[in-house]
Amino acid sequence: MTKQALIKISHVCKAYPNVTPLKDVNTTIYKGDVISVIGPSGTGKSTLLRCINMMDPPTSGDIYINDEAITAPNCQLHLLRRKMGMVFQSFNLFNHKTVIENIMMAPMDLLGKSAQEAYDKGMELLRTVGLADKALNFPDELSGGQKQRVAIARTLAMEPEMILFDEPTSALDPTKVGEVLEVIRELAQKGMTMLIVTHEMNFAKDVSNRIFYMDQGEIYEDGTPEQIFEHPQRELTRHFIMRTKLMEEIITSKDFDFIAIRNNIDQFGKKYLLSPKSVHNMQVVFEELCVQTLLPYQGEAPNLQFRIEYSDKTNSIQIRIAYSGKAFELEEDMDMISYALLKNATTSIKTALTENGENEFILDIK
Amino acid sequence: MQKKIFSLLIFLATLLTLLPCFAANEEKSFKTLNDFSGARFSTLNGTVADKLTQSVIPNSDNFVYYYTVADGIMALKSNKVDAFVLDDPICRLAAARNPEVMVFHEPVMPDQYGFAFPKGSPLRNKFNTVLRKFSEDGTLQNLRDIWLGADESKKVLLKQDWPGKNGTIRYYHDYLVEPIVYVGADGPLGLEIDLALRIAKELDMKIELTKCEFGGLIASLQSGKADVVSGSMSITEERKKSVDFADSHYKAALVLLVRNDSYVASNESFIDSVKASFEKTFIVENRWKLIVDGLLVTILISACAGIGGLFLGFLLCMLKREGSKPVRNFINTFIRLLKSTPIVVFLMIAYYIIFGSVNISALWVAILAFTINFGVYAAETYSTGLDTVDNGQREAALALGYTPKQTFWKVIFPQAARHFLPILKGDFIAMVKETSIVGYISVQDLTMVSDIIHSRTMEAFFPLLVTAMIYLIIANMLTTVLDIIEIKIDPKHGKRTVKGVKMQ
Repeated sequence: MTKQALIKISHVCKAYPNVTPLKDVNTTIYKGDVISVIGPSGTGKSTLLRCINMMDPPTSGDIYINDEAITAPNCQLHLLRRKMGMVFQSFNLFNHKTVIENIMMAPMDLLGKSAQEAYDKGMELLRTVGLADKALNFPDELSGGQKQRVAIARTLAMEPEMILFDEPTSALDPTKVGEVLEVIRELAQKGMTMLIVTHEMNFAKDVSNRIFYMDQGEIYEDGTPEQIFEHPQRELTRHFIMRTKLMEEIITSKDFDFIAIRNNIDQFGKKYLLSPKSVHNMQVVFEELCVQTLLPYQGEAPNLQFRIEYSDKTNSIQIRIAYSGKAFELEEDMDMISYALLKNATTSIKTALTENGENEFILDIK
Repeated sequence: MQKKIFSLLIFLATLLTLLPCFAANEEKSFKTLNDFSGARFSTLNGTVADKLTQSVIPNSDNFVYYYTVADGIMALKSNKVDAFVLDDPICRLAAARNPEVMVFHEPVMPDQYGFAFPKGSPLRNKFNTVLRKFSEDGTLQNLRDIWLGADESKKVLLKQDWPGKNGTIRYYHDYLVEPIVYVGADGPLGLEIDLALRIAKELDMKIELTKCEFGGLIASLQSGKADVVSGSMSITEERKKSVDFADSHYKAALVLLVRNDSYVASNESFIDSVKASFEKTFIVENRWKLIVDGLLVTILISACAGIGGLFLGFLLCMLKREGSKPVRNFINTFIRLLKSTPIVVFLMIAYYIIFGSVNISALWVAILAFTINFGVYAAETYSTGLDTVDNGQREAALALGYTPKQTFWKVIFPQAARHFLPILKGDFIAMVKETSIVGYISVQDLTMVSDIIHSRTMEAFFPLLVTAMIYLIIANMLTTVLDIIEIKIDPKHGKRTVKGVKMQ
């Protein structure tokens, strides 16, 4: 069975005068896909969603809905938008209408349904989101979670082919998040195509069949939840999933500011509440391996990258030291005492090659 | 609402009782003109009486200015000033009607009135020829006897029954100076108007009368609205710099009107005095008809400007929000310019400069000026209202598939209306009250009518209170209507139900 492509995104770029959230986005969304879009803030997740239904038209590139270009200047934009519902972070219910009127309005105005048809359908939808008794309330009389459920019902009333969720639970009280996610989960089970920008990782893992990890203005990694959450292929995805905190120092001179780097390591430890022992061990690695061993080894023009990665998720610290020049054999060339100290401070020492082809030590800190 | 009116009346009554206390001042006695040195003077706005007085009485620069004779007399009676300086026919008539004041026995200086023309007008020589003839055959003396006399029945104007082959004279005149130029039961009356009609007859020209504030007379000549003006206008060197005068048709004098110390107030009861005031204000000369006419003019201007302004304001608001950059800049400048111009100044500019050379009725200019003025305020108000609607509302409607136009009318406008209507209501009521200045361009509205009446009755309080009362009633009626509309569009008003649907 071939999957039916619903949305094709090709070379989409969105640039503002001082920031470019989308550099080059390419993907295809198939019917029945439930895609969670994750990634650090400011990486264009919402912008991508808003480009798809032209709330923010892309600067360049094309987006096709069922092979019809929504980015074409002469397209029937409002007709194409009817195929894609959108649920907003801030709900955006029409404040001057009751709950049921909010739901009835668009089908009556745009699909030519009779009031009775729209009402019956509206009440049915309200029952599925559990809010039939609020039909005659105004939006300002509802809680955030209730508002978002009404917003979903309003979107469903237009019978869209897919729904775009723009951080649907970010503006909610934590106790109300569950009720909204439950409604989305049910929609997923019914086979609704959905694109969900979310920060709820567990929810994303459970409900989606695909995950977009967005970073660097593109879909950095696209895969199944297992791939993204268990075995991320790319470095930034891994950092994001492991919630990695980074510290990086580049040393290019023999006369570098030694005290400043030692101080930075202390500060890094304080900032992420690392144990004094770990901080001491990091200092040992820096001193024994970088300062005492690799720098003299590199001679007059050193080129050394010292990086600490602390994973908040697994509470583990890794130090990566990349250096130019020939590989250095620790066991053979290193001073005995220094090597003993290094061994003492780490649980494992591995060597590798970086993406640039430089030699690298990877040390897991005790 | 009754409660509101009642408390307002109590407030006014308290104010009136307190007024004399504030005005109390030590009495001085005046025997000769020189005794007035250092006294407090008053005169009418736009006259030269202050300059002439200062040239005769030393230390007499403490002047205040009023718009009407009646106001001046009120100030004199309530001891706000010591002397009211004006031409003697006016002062004598005032003294005859108000036993509390009298003309001081020594005149300040002789004075003479003339008709004024635009610089170099050929009409002036024609007037002079006829004036010379009237002076020789006694017509002029005869007219003076009639208009300064007490026999009201003789004070009738000439009917314009001559063919008028030589064209039409546009004649602007003051209307608050009985017996020279004033308004009677059937329209303008007075010595100068009668004289102007007779001169026009001699010249076989028709004459078109227009009432105008004294302060606007010279402007109406300079803007080309009028061919000739008068209003007991003194012939002075300073005025001669901007206009030409015909030979004087009236030798007058500048006199002082002072309080009559020997006057003892009669024991007339309050009810009787109100009755008398009511009689004078409404019944005599069918003055209530004037009030009704004035009221209709006020309502006409308010209604037209209100409706026109709502549409104009909407147009301006949309251009300001959706127009291209030059259009937006233009509209913003236009709005800023008009908002910072006092409406009375704008009205005069519109009448004397913009429409200076166009033959358009002052009423239309007033309607137009108030439409624009209200439109400018309404534009800002709409804009404020539209700004209060969150952008998310627009996005939600667009995302559902509404077109931008449908989005505006179905979602944004109804929500904005709840915000701008209360402000618009205030703007509108303020505008209705502001129409009271149309008298400046000779439109006879409610306020001008009240001026006309109190210039005749020499009584300020009663006509003013009546006018205030009428404005109060109009404003309250409007407020009530607008309140009802406001409640009607409140979505939370009334029973919660879904229209046209069998509810589950």
